[in-house]
Amino acid sequence: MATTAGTLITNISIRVRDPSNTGTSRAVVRDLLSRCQQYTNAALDSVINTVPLATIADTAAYSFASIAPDIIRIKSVRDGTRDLSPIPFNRLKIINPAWYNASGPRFETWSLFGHQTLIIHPNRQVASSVNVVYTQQLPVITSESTLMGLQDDQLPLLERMVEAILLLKARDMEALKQLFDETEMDVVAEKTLRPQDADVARSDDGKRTTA
Amino acid sequence: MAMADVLALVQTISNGAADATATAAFYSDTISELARQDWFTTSQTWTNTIGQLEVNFQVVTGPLINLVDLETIIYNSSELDLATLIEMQMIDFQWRDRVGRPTTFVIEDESSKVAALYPAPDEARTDNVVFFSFTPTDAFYYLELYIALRILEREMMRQSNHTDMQMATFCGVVAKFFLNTVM
Repeated sequence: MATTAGTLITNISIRVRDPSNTGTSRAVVRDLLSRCQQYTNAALDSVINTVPLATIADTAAYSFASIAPDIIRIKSVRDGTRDLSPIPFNRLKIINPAWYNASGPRFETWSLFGHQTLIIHPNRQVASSVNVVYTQQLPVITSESTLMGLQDDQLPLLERMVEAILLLKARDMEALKQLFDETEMDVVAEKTLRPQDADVARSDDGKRTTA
Repeated sequence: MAMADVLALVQTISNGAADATATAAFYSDTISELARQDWFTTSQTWTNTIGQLEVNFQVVTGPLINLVDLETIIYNSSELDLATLIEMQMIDFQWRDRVGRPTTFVIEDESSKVAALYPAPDEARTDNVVFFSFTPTDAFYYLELYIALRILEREMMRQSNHTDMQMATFCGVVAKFFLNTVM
């Protein structure tokens, strides 16, 4: 059964020994819950969405805003049932210095320029369509009756993240250190138990790119 | 308004101790830092004139966009190589006088976002493209908590009546952890 935000707020408040929310109001805890769930989802790629992208003839670059308003991370791009190969942005020039206007009968690769631009290569000379699979930014929690979008087994990790911020607020550094170490270990453990999709890695110059 | 939300978050986590003026400045610094890490990027077409050696890309992108880094320039469908002034002087001492099809660009002045093309273009084209990073007015919602923690890290680290190096350290550690999850 899905858990409501109010239940989590109560649990977290008890954990930080503030059951009456005297130190931190429930509204503030709800706000932190809404923000921390984004990091929990991003760490575990739990809530994924797929949207079609209508590609334009002879066009390589597409802004994230033109694809969907709630993209945290693009995980793959599919042309029908075929996954396009991810490639670092700085490798495109090595493959073909004229990559920007290169065209072909079908899409072959996708790349990310920074965090707001998707490159699909080569172009097609006709309008077409691909499916973009991405980790979704979860809706902002505006009410305690909101059902959490994460799976129930991921909620303890989310609770720890919020608790960490509240301990930071209370300047309880000893408890925060112990909690933070547990949280990091949990994230690593959760990721190893789940199937691995294409991971986002750093390119040689230290900037974000696709592996 | 994201900036107001972030600064409110800073005040909440610091229990009202953070200085409003300093944290507003730290907000701008953190956004610039994220821009240099290519968190805010886009591309734009631009037009050149014949023989135009230098291009002011801040003018190209317009006053509404605060350009941070020029990453890639496309001229006549080809991506130009990036070179330094010293490298250009070694390649061709009179590189500024050459005219032809550009193959390379040099950042002349990083603060004013002026780049020189080598050689200067011998034809005018309207289909050139520049890829760049910029500082937005508002960051993404999921980055706001990270930005608030980075601001707190700096605020608690500076000399003031509420300096707290331990809290500053933990703010930085938690912020880095959050940023790594969305990388």
